Amino acid sequence: MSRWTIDSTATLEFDGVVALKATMIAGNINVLASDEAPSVLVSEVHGPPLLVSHEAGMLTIAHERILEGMLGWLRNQRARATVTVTVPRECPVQLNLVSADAVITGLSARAAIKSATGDVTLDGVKGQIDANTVSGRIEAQGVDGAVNFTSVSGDLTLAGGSLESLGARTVSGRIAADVAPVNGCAMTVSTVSGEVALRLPESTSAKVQLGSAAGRIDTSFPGLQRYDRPVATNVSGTLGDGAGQLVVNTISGGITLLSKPDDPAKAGTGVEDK
Amino acid sequence: MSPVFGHGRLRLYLLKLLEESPRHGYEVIRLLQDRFLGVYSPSPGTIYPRLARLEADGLVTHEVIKGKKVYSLTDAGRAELERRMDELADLEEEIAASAQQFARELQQDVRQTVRSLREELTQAAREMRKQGRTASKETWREVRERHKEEWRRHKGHWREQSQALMEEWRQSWDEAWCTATGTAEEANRIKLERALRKFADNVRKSARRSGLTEADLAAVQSLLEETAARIRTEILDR
Repeated sequence: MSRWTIDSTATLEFDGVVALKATMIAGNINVLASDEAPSVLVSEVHGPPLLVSHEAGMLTIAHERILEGMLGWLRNQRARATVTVTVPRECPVQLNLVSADAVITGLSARAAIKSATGDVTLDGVKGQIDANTVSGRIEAQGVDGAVNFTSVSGDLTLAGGSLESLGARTVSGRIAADVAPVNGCAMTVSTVSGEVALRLPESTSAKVQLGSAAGRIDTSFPGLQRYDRPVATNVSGTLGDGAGQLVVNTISGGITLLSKPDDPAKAGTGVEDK
Repeated sequence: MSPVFGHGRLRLYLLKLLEESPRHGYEVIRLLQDRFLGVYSPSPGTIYPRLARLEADGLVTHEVIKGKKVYSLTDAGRAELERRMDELADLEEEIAASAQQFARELQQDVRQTVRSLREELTQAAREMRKQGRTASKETWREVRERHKEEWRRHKGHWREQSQALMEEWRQSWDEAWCTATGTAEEANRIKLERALRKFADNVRKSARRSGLTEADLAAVQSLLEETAARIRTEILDR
């Protein structure tokens, strides 16, 4: 097992990394996929030094003494670092963030993210994404795979990409997704007061159930049946052959289900205009 | 081109790539793209002339394998690389920093996309809602009209029904009263009244169902008169 204690700028290279686990208090962590040798570049450290360990392919990055408990940090000096990690594409990544922001790009393995207030940006990530935040936002572009999102007030935005499944639960976070679900994709979204806006291709086939107690429901898909009652609004029906499933439930958040043309050139409007 | 490369640094980096192993031109381009994570992607027009220049300077040499020029470092090239090792270390650091820069730019880019997507969805929802509102207003009005009409019809129907019921009830009461208290003749008289009224009702109902012309009316009149006369002469005036 190799260990490094880093208190200033440093670059480390490794021969093989099969998994990455990073715990950050504040600052930034960037995880980039590359075919080169895995590396860790630390460009700033404030507070206690960063501890990097590499054992049996498992790369771990954390502030020293973090295991003594989080409460110690509240009264202690700030612990801030900026870290850039390059790992192979198929390397699973686990991030624990307090207020640090993260960027993950190009990975095709599982990404598990726990964040308190840190925002997470994902670009071109394939595979399973599990994100659990308090008020941190998840912003993703071109994500292919299964997304599982739980938050209190953090927003989830998915711009482009094809989803195998989507599970999102939040209290007041907003959910916005402009995606193409693969055939048989199960999407379940539930919020209390968070707004839900989904845009799916016209050819989507799914059994749809949208329900809200006090929020309004709008859909531009024809053929969905609306039931307006004083205490709840429901919109349900079947799109296409009903292979997939789309269930959205809110208490007071509005639900908007939009359709977009299937034309791939137009499908990503708002995504491609970088 | 990325600011990373200036003052012959690309040249240095090419030497470094070739030192690792002999490579052909396309491989060099792909490696540069990889190492810079897409921040810097050189075109063949940038790389091939540089390789040719390095060769002219005697730093690299090439041999043709399967129709491709494979470049490798000469001893002079290796010496040059050794001499500029410090510079190379600086360069690699900057490349690493450029990875961070790349991540930051990516973050900005995705944030921008996400923001515009949110705006777009909100805008689309607002438009749809506006359309939906006018449409729903119209349907609401329509539905209300229809309900009103139905209600009116129901009301008429109920009134008719209740009148008919009341009538019937009164008749039965009269009948019962007469049967109980009056003579047989009085009771029969009431029964006759009822038969006449029923007859009139029946005719009225069938007349309502089918159209009535002048000729029909005349025929009906003569028939009625005839019937009345027959009743008078054949039954009552015996």
